[in-house]
Amino acid sequence: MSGYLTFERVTRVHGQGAASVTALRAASLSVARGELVAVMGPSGSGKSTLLTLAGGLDRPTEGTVRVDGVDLRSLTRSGLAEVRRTKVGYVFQGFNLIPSLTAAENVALPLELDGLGGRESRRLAQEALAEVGLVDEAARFPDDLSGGQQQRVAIARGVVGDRRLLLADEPTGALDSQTGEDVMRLIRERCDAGAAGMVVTHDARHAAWADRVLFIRDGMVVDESASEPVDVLLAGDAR
Amino acid sequence: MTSWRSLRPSARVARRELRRGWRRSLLAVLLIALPVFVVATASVLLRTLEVTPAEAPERWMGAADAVIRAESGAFQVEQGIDPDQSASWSSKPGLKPVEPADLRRALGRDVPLVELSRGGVDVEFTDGATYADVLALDTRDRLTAGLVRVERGRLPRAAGEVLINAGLADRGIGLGDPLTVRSASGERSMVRVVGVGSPHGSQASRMMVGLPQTLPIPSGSSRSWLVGGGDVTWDDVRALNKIGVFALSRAVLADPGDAPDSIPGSGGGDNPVMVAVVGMIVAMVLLEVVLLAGPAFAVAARRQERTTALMMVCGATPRQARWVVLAMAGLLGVIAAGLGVGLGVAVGWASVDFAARTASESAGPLDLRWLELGGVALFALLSAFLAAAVPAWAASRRDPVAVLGGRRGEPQPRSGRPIIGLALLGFGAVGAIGGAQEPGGDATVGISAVPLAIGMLLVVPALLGVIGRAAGWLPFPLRFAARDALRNRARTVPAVGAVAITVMGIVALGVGNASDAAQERATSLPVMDPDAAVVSLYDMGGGAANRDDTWRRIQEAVDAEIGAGVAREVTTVPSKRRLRFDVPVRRNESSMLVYGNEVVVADRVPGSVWLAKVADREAADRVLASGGVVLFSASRSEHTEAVARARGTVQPAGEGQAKPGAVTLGAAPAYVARAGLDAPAAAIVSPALAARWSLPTEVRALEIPVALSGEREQRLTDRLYLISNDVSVMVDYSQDPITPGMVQLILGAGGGVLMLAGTLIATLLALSEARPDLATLESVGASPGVRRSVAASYALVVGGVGALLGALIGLIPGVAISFPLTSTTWLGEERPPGLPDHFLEIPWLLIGALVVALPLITAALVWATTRNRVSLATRLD
Repeated sequence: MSGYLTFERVTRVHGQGAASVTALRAASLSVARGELVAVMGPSGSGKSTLLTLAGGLDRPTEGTVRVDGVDLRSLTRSGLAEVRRTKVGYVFQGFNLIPSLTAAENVALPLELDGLGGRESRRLAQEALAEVGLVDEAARFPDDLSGGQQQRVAIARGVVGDRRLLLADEPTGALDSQTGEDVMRLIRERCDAGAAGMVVTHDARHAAWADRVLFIRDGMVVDESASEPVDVLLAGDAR
Repeated sequence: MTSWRSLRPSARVARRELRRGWRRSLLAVLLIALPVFVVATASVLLRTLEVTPAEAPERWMGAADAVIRAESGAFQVEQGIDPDQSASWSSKPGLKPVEPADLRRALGRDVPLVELSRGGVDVEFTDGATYADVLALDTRDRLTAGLVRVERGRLPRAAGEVLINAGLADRGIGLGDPLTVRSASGERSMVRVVGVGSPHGSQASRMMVGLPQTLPIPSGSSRSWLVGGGDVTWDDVRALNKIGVFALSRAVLADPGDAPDSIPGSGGGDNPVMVAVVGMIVAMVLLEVVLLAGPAFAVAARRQERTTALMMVCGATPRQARWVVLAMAGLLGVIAAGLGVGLGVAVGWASVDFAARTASESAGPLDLRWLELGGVALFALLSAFLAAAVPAWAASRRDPVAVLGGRRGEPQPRSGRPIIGLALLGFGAVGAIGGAQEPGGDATVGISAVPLAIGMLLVVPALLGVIGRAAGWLPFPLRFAARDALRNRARTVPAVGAVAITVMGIVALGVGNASDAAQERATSLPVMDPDAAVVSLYDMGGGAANRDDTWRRIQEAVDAEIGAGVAREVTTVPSKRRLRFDVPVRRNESSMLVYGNEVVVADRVPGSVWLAKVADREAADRVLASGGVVLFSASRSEHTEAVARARGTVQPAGEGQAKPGAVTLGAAPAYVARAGLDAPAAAIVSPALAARWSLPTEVRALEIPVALSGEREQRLTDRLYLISNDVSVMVDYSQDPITPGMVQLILGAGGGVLMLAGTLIATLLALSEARPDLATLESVGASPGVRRSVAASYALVVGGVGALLGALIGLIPGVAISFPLTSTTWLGEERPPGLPDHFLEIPWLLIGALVVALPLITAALVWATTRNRVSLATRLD
């Protein structure tokens, strides 16, 4: 299975000279469609850098990042923006919904930014919201939604349209454990439906929803293993 | 390329964010709408008050079909629709004057004509007499209907009836009052006032309208007629032009057809220098508005940085991110344009009647020039977009990852900007210096202010950087404010720039004005003591007995008005005697030719004579006591300080230098004092010298050592004019008009308001943004007063840095413009002795007030009005 997202010896150095910091060192990895990869590691290890490079929000100092076969380094800022509109969905710890847009408008945002008509955008947004169980909340503003609901809206936005790469940075960090599990289940479902997923998390229970777990330390991928299935973990908890 | 449809989310976010931050939005709208409102109101008022012949033809031609004017000797006449606006002609003396028969022949039909004659008469009323302009026309003729506006009473219907204007009515003349009019030939006739009003558009201060037989006026070089008998077509107008006559036709006004508005070469086009100056003023106002509104947009963009970053994460292009701020600017610009133009039209319309009453003129129909108003609205939109341009650009350059991670993510300003700024400053300075060196270079200096202003703006970020980095030794509040200004350059730079531009303009104008005033002081001197008046009777013929009687009546009239014994008699040499005084000076000999009645005979300088210094008066009195003569010169002459000897000569009739037949009177000690031209005395001869030279003397002037009010002066003048029109009343108002100090005060006050606005806006926005920092300060134990001190320091940094920079740069065009304004070597004449090449005066008090006092006052104001308590920080958006 070829990777929808691939990193080929990607290095990212911030700053110059003595003040430079290497956030990622020669990282190589691949995430295929239908696959969910968890990234774990201590703070400052380079997890978020991995995610921002994957989403085209940052450029590698060396190496190649490809999404759907496209080398992100070859793209202009507008080209990268197009990749984010059409191929990549982001979910953050802090929900990050635009407070002046309704839930449906937040979800439809990438589509509308891509020039899709209002009616079609709304229809697709409603579909995405329905998939996360929030179709009744479509007209509400983020301030009127609970944390869990906001994160589900963010996931709906991350997968709306034909986007097939879902990047999540601590998506459950601001949620209680039950809501966190619901969110992870949702991400898992989206990947099962054909998306490629990469989730940064500190929590092994949430990493267990992934097919594989990458461990990063000091900018290097130090280990990669298949995660223990979450139902096994949950069963262990029950015992 | 991003499609317009893809910009909808940006516009939607902008719209909703505007509602969320409505106070900030309101601030930006008000800043942009205010100049729009002022200009729109002025446009509506001026256009409505400015009545054109097409709007109200009756004001020009009554009920006639045309009004025509024949100028003496005019031929090859060409005109546009309105000959007063556009016409050209040639002139040849001795051409046969146009008569009514010529007009009828040119028109090819027998048309009724009513002649309009203009002239002047002396009007005698109960308490005095005065001169008045006269319009003589047959107001009984229906063609004249509507030409004269009647406020009270009616139009004259018979010989001996007149209508007077408000200027004459103010003399206490009422309806039914009898008046005596005295024609230029001296004939007197009685008339009766039947109405008060004036011809439309008349600017005469005193005016009278009557039938031709009431007010006979000799034919002058220009004659006008009202024409009836049907439409006067453009072909008729051209036929009239052929006989040297100009015509304004009602039919052509209503339907111009092929008639041109203007004809080539008739002048009246836009003066390119004026266009450039107006363009520069508009550009500077635009810049000022942009800079004042800029900080509001910078803060709005900052408040939305998270939203913008999120949009970028969702795939927004930089253009779409910019559009969040630009759409906001567009919306605010549209609101400001609508509000400004709407309110301007409403207020202009509501004040038309008041303005018309103030101008003593009736207004025309409401005249909305949509092109002008559209231009003003466009100004609002343009201001908003320009004010938002930099914040929008900065928003699109922010690193979304950094912003979402809680860091600033603000791009570093390009290091090339200070260099471009310095280059523009150099370019502007060179332009200003070039303008200073060319005659009439004031426009060049004015235009060079634009690169100077832009260059100054471009160096502001670098200057803030220097100040912020050097702030380590400053007390905490100032250090905090300086560093915050550096850190938030997007918001601080426009505010500092607005203050700097304001101060730059004021300093440049202030230096120009002060230098101009310095030249005025050196070259134009008062002629009299402002608290005195002089009454003189000129000898314009008539017998000595008559003059004695006239003079006696004048003295009685002055005593009656001022009080007996107040006025002092002044002895003069009879006015027919022409004296010449030659005074040796360092290089050559200066000659002064004076007329007898300008020569006062006195043993002391009369109190009414203005002298520059007390020392002048003392020296002059000493010369008079020693039997000498005091002469006056307007220039700072080389012999001003020296007591010299003058050689007196009695001149024969004729102008100019000494001629054969001149009788030398001899030499005498002389003192030349400085005084203005047209002083009541050009020379003061001591009685001893007058006796030695056998000069005849008479008393034909009175010195009134009392300050006369305008009303009292007019009453006295009217009284004396009733006695003789050879009498003059001199009062010197030259020291009354707006003084340089007053101009500086007005400049300082206007600049102060703008500075205060710019500084307060920036300070309030900075405080609003600094809330989390201030909360942090409080949490680590800062005293409650620290918020106030920080706020005052913000004001001090913004106001002080802006004012200092503006003052320094403003000196460049200010000093430069003083050269073309005041140079004494460009007048085409030899520079008067003692005068410098040009005058330069720096208004240090004004500059000190702007650079030191105003920032301190602003800081104090901010300190006094800032709350001490700091609320806990909340999320930014």
